[in-house]
Amino acid sequence: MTVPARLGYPIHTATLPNGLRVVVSPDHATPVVAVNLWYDVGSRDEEAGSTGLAHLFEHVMFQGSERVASGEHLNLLQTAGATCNATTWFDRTNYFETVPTGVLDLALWLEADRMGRLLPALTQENLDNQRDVVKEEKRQRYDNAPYGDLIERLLALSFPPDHPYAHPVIGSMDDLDAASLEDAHAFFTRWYAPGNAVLTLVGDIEPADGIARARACFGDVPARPLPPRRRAEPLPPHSGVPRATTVAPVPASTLYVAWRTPALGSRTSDAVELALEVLGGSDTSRLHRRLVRTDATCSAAGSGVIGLARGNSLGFALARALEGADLATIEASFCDEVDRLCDEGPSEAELARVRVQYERAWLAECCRVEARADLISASMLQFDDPDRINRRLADIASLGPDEVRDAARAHLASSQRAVLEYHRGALGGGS
Amino acid sequence: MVGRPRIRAPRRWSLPPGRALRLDNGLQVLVYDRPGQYVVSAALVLDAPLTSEPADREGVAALVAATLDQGTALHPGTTFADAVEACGALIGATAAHTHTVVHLDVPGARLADAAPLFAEAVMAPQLGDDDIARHARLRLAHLDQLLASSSDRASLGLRHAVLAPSNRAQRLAAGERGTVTAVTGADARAHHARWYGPRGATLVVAGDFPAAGLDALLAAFAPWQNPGQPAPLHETLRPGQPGAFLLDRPGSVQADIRWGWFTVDRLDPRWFALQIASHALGGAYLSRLNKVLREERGFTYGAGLMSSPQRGGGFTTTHGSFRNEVVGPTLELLGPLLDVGAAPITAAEVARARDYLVGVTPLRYATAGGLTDAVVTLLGAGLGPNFIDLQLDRWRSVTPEDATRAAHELVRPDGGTLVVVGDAAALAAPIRAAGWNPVVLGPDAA
Repeated sequence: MTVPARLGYPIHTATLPNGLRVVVSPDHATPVVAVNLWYDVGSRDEEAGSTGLAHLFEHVMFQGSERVASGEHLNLLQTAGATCNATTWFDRTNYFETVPTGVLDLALWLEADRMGRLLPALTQENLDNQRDVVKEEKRQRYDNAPYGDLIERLLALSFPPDHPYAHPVIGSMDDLDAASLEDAHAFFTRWYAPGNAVLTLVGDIEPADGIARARACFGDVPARPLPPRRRAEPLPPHSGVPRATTVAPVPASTLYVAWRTPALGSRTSDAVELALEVLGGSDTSRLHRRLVRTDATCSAAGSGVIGLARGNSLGFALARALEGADLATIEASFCDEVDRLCDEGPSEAELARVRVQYERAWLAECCRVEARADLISASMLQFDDPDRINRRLADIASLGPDEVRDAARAHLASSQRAVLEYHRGALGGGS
Repeated sequence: MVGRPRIRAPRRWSLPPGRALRLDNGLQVLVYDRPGQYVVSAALVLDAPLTSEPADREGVAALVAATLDQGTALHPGTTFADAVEACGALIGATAAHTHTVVHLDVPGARLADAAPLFAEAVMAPQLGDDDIARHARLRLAHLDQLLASSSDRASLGLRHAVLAPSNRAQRLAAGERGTVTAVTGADARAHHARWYGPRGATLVVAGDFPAAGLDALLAAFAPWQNPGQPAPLHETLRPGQPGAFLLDRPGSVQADIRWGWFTVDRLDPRWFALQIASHALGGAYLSRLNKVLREERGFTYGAGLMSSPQRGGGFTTTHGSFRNEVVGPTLELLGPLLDVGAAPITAAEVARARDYLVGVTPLRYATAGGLTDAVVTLLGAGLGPNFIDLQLDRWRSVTPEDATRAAHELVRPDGGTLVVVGDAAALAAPIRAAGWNPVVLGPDAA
């Protein structure tokens, strides 16, 4: 018995007159509905001097709207037995709640009120409070954490300074301090339009009913035109091995490598993803075998890709040194493995392992209604193709060893890497 | 414009029953058929608490668990992991304080292929000297990573202080530096030979899978025997000496605060009221702690109060990360915020906590993985899956007086143990000014 290459999750779509795209996928196994709203705005859309605004704005979205008090959105839903949150990323901001079936209307109404009528509640006081909260989030997740500046450094190595992906989603303290109430109002007016969003419902709801309920709540949100976006053309691979070195209070010296890989949504991008899985996706991968088992110079080694929608994605690898091991030696072994993969490509057995592991991970994601809703929103917003969730495994299964090898040669050669070295230093900045 | 919709009450939910089987060797099997859950989550729970470890070899159980997939009698070395991955499976194991659990995740359609490998890892791992030595080195590197994290170091410090040193549960399940380095391959093989066996073990299987998959799993474990397997001693937990500790982390821009109390586990009659109280005080988004410290003051990304039931006791902890400048005001605020003597828990707070805890329960057990993990946790605590429905009933009957009493007895603002991880030079004075007299420990102290 084998897993069918094509999955069969039902997909029903509608577009409201104001431009809001709605997707409904019924699943009656549990009496809950996952509500998932993707807005096509992220940190890539921030202007210079306004880094972190998209994420700060996400926080402000919980501080009330015309008919909802500050904090009430989360409080009402939690009290009704729902889970609820939001996240901001380079390419999008998502808002989501998984609610008992009888709470669906309230969840849709709350989302619609803040999509249509946020500004009356967006006050200086709310903004200032959430600015403090976000600065604490930045301290907790980045400034006070070992390797906390990793993503900032990798982005700076990988993209030119004015590029939409050159700065981290969390932004800088200076820019967070500088964000004004006018900036926040303008950000909402510019990006939080129904035509810039996808609403997905997965769970205990029938398609026509789900679409009708969405229409009842969101139908009167006025359409607004969308502004032009900053473009991001594909950048060529790195040359000359750009390198940054830092001494920091990290527990182990670590080598990070970055590549400019193709943006999400092409066969080549999928092939690069599989190549990075073969290289460092698990404990049977080439990097783990070489660096952790054979050379025994590292405590961990792996690779993967941060998928991005425009121009390029960010391929990466890491090798965490054991005490006393030398990063230059580790890097030489690392490059051996990378070049061997580019020369020979994966074996049939390796690629088969990576494919079935991909299958398990994909099926496990789809098993959770909230994750399935998020995948569908992504497919709709980024590819205008909500059925992609059903085709994904077939797409991955259709990639052969030669295609993976060719993608690795084109995008992952060791000569195309950028390198970030963390060297272990003392706490408090001493050496 | 539609008005604010009313909520329709959910229909009463209870855990859909599983099937209980028992193999001839004594292995208990709990099966949950979950249509649409295409990835099967199976877990073998071994009745092997860490009290079974020799005192000078703490960490041996975790090293055995980490090395189960590093080769078996039938699939030596890396050929085992290759075979596991080739059938789309993931096999891993964890040694918790009360039990060891070996996990298998695999698409249901491939369960029959993975089943013999799962049993091999449990019954016949190689546990070679080199593999154990390598994993001991990896364990030390991981320990360095753990202690470098401010929040992990704070949580570990609290566990250390709130439980008595005579308890194995006071220390990290995976062992600490001194004892891990002493573990040899022979120690690991001895631990496996003694404690891995069907006596007291339960296999939990949840998901959407063909009958042949389950048959293969049962057949794979049918030959499992360990006549010499002893019955373990589960420890009763005792409180440590209350106090205050400042763990120095020079250069930190935030302080991780933990204020904890030795409390109770799920078997204590106050457990359900304590959960309701914990949610009202520090579980909900608009809990007393988070409402003031985050939403009003902007002192933190999030502050909470959480109970961690163990087996034979438990502890309850206030937690959060705060910028250095507000540590003093935060410590001043925490006591009054938690003082249910001065401000008893209200009927509205109880209703909100109950409706949240009851309401999210179906979602928590909706996936194969969520269900299996929950059942494993209960088995490790010496309970069974029927606790899930019992807990729903008990939450529904907690009164404001019950919740207030439980918090008043167990979460005392005039007691408990304080652990702060951060820059001692910046924090010692405000902590003292807030009325605590902390013992200051250096950057290398765990």
